[in-house]
Amino acid sequence: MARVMRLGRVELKVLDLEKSVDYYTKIIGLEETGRFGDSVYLKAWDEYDHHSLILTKSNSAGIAHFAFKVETLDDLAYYEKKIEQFGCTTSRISNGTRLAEGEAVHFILPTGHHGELYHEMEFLGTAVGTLNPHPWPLGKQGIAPHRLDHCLLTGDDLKSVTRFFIEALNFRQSERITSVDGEELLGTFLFTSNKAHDLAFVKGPDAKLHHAAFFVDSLHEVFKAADILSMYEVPFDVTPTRHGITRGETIYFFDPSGNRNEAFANGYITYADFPTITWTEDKIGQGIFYHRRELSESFMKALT
Amino acid sequence: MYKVKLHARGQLFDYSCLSTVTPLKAARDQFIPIPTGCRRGGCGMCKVKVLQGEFTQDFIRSHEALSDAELENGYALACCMVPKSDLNIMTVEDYSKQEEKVEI
Repeated sequence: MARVMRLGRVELKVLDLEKSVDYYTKIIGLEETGRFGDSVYLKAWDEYDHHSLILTKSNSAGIAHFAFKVETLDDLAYYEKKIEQFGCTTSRISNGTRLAEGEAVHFILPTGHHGELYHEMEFLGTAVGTLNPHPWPLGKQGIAPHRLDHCLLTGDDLKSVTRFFIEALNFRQSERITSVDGEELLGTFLFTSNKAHDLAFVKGPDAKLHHAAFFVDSLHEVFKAADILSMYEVPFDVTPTRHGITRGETIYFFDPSGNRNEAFANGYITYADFPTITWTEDKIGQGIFYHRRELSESFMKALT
Repeated sequence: MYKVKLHARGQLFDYSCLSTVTPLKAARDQFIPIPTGCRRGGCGMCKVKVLQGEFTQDFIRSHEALSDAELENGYALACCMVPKSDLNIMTVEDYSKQEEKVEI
């Protein structure tokens, strides 16, 4: 059976819908593609599907659900069975529940997060098209990332959630953070594509979001994103630096509801046969912030 | 200009704060180590117990970070409130440690 393809969409809870739409369109530079009930749907310019981000009005911040796209309806049924066999309950989300989406398979992770698998989603196409395309569209706004890249979530039982993604969804683990004696798992970085991570977890309270990341081309684009965020006075968590883990170049900042966002560039390409890289807790400072080499209180504790 | 007494990290900090500035921003501008997260009322890291004083709390905030009941009981988010008088505030971390001591 084919691998699960990619992280296709994330639904974030936001406090002030219009202010959030303004931020995600003008500053992040996503395109609004639809509205339905209390939700607004958005996509990045280089994405084909109808949306990769859903903003839903709520009285708290955080992640409502994340969803991975599979290649065929047979894959959807196959992985639905695998999830059940693993011991997680699944249910079907009927088409028409959200805008432009077909049926989805819903499950709850051992860390309490709501996940879905889906195959069907309305196709809009990228801003440059598929016939003799230009490398990027004119008239981009804000940071204008290529796509949604990954999410980092927090939870308690990282061993079970890792086993879930590997055994039920055929993911691999690119990197992990352990206690010095190797006994305790403090961080787990999981992929199904060839990216250094599609979804990751660090030890913390269940069902919380650490960040949702958008992909930009280069360190230069990360730096330019930082300039744009300063122009709009968006609060930073971390100014441009490099991760030891994934080797990505990065900047962290907060959306109007306090959900942490990341503009992430590069990071290595990985394959299913690559061994897992291990970081021990005593080197975690440089694993996460390669230059500063120590963690910060806000990065560790500010969650939504 | 109001005076703020902040109990944080087991210490007492005295500083001044304009009526248009949040106690969080004023503390950081004076290098006072107030716990700081998203500064958007979303994460609740800067939650304080207001021991004394008047303030205005932003209406839009995460109710997981600060519920209506907590607001009524004198809790506030230092990132999205402004003082309306001198304030005496304590981080929730210090406040819960103090409560534990009282119980013992």
